[in-house]
Order: sequence, then C-alpha cells, then structure tokens
Amino acid sequence: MSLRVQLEQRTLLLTSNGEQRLAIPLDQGGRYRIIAPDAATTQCVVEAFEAWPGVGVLPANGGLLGAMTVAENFSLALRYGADPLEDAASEWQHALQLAFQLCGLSEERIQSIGRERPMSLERVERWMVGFVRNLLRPPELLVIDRVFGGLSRRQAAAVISLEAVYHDVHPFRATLFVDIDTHELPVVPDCMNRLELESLECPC
Amino acid sequence: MSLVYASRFFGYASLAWFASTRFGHLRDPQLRLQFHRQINAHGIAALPVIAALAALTGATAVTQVTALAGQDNDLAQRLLFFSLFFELAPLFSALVVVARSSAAIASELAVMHLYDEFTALRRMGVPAADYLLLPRILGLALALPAVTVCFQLIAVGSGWLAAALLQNQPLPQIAGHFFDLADPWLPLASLVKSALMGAAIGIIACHHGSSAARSTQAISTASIHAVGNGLVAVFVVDVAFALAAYFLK
Repeated sequence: MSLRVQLEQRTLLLTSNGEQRLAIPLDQGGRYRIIAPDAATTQCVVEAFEAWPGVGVLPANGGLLGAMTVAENFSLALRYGADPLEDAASEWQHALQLAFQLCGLSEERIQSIGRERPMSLERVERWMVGFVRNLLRPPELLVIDRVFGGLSRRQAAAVISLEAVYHDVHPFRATLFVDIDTHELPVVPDCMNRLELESLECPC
Repeated sequence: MSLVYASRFFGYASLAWFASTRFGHLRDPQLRLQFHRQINAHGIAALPVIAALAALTGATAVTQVTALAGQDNDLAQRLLFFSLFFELAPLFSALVVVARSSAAIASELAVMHLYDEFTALRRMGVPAADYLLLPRILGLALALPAVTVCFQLIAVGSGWLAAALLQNQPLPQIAGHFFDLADPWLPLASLVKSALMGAAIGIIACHHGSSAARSTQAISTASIHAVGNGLVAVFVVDVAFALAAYFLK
C-alpha cells in the first residue's frame, strides 16, 4: 500500500493506493486522528504530512534539544532568523509567560522551568514545552506524533485538556493525532475524523 | 576501501565549500551566540593547557640547545624563532585542540543525531547545518590562530627567561637579538597555517559527527575517526607550509 499527501485548494488530502482516505481543510480548525498499526506506518504518515510547508510536527518528547535549557530552546525556536532590531525580547517573553499560564503552570514553575534542561523534565512537561512553542508559532496543521504512548490515563487526560487550549487560542488551526493502535488508546473528543490505517510498505 | 576514503574526502570538501560560502549567516544573533560559544569552548577554555605547554616547551628548547651547543646565543634564538615560533607553536596548539575538541565535537553531534535532534532543529525552522556545523568550523578556524598567538608569546617569553638565566645575558639584549632575526612574514604565515588547521579540524570532526550511524557504538567510532583524521590533516597542512617556506626562502 502506498501513501501520498497532496494539497488541493487549501486542503491536505491523504490517499493510499490512489484512494482518498482523509481530507484536512487547513483553515477550518478541528481535530483529526489517524491510527496506524505499527511504528513504521506511523513514521511514514508523519513524514508524508511533514513534507508539506506549513505542517508542524510535535513528537512525544517535545522535539527539544537536550544540550540546551528550556529557555535557550525557546529563544532559538522563536528568535532564529528574526530581525534583532524589530524583535523585542520582552514581547516574546511576555507571550511565553502567558502561554505557560494558559497551560496551567504555576508562577513558581514558570520561573524555574526555563533554567532546566529537557532531560530533567517529566515527559508530559517536556511535551508541554514543545506544545507551548507551537502555541506561540502555530503551524497550519499541527501533527501530534504518538503522544499517548506510555502515558497513564491521568497524564493522557492532561494532554487532551492541554491540546484543547490550542483550539481555544487558534480556532482555525487544525491538529492531527497520529497514534499506534493499542488497546488503551484514549478517546480524543470532538474528533472530525478517525482513520484506521492498514500496514504500509513505506518507501521512505 | 578506496571508495570509503573517496566519499570521506568528498564529504570534507563539500563541508569546506559549505563553510566558505555561508559564513555571512553568522550575522544572525543566534548563530553568532553559538559561534562565540564555540570560540570559548575550543579556544579560551584551552588556554591553561596551552600556557603550561608553551612555558615548558620554550624553556626546555633553550635549555637543551644551551646544553648541546654551549652558550651560543644565536643558535638558541634561531631555534626559538624558526622552530618554536613558526613551526612548533601552530603544531602543538593544533594537537592540543585536536585532543580536546575533535572527539568532543564529533561525539556531541553523533549523540544529537542519535536522539533525532537534527530533525528537532529542522522542525523549529532552524537549518541544522547552519546552526550546528558552521559555528563549529568557523569557531575553530578563528580560535586556533588566537590560541597559537598565546602559545608563541608564552613560549618565546619562557625561552628568553631560560636564555637569560643560562647564558647570563640581560633580557633586553636577548629580546633585541630575537627581533633582529624575526621575519614579519613568518608570524603571519603561522597564523594562516593555524587558521587552516583549525578549519580542517572542525570540518573533519563535524563530518564524522553529523554522518555517524544512529547507534551508541557509532559515537565512539565518530570520535576515533575525528581525532585520527584530524591529526593527519594537521600534519598534512604543516608539511605543506614547511615545503612552501623551504621553496620560497
């Protein structure tokens, strides 16, 4: 089975063997979900979507650099390529603080988390840092890659409620959950589409 | 086997081309910060070792020449200028930097590759090669000449002190004689040589680190290749400059 993602009239179309399986309009918001049978297929799906500009991928580990502190990670992600004359540091620091507050982090934790390295954070916290980065710079489609693997039910519920913040802040930006089929996979509320894929022979 | 060496050489050459054409990207504040970090890590942090090595080398060279040739001030001074200042200072500095930094750079990049951090950078919108390789290569190309200048100053200073003590001559007279021998092109050539050695060390370490396979064993393999090939490159540059100096003389 071959997999392709195409962009037609602001809609990303996922086709397998020439058959259209999923359509994600890029400016209508909403949650979508793909459940793949194995890690290789999941990887293939993520790579097929990622090839399109405007698609951001948020992996389960938050996609952070281990050698840098959380603050340095943010500084790099939010200020790389920005005009230093126009880019007021206080503005993005304020936005960052607001984003963390929206995600329910206490004032003390916001003060301390910036100095920590990603490896010392809990997994959900690490994911949240990556999530906050996307909250501040939202892609047109945010692909949330295998976030529920290895999480407890309470942690999974926390992730789902955090993701709801994204839709509150950016109502016209869509998210796509890509997960591996397991028997305790949590339900994503208000999901526009749930696609269960078969195993793929991924060319990538 | 020759195919491996050919592809490796091609990798070095393309990385050299990449660094030489993209140094303008260092205008970005984030890249400049990274560039300063590399200079600090591979240049400034190496200074205590360099200072100790330079002081010992300068004093030892003059002591041995005095012991072998007697109190021949001219020979000691010639040795200080031509051997130590032009030849040994860039070479020893490069060897210290290879020993300290090559393995560190290669293993750091290999670990980043193992944990998919190149992809993480790309997803942040940061070109991994610009952010990771460029500051390291250019940082070493700048840090090594600076380290070499420190080596030269300390080694010559300690050589003068040793000569003053062993040959019972006033320090200003020794210094004056040294400057009589000095050819202004040779210090400049030694700095160019150091910059080339620094760039070569950086290119080789970055190539092996960034192209390592994604396994824990590949980290040590990348470090070994970075140090070994870095040493070879340093000596190749050194021999090339020695030959050039010989034929131009």
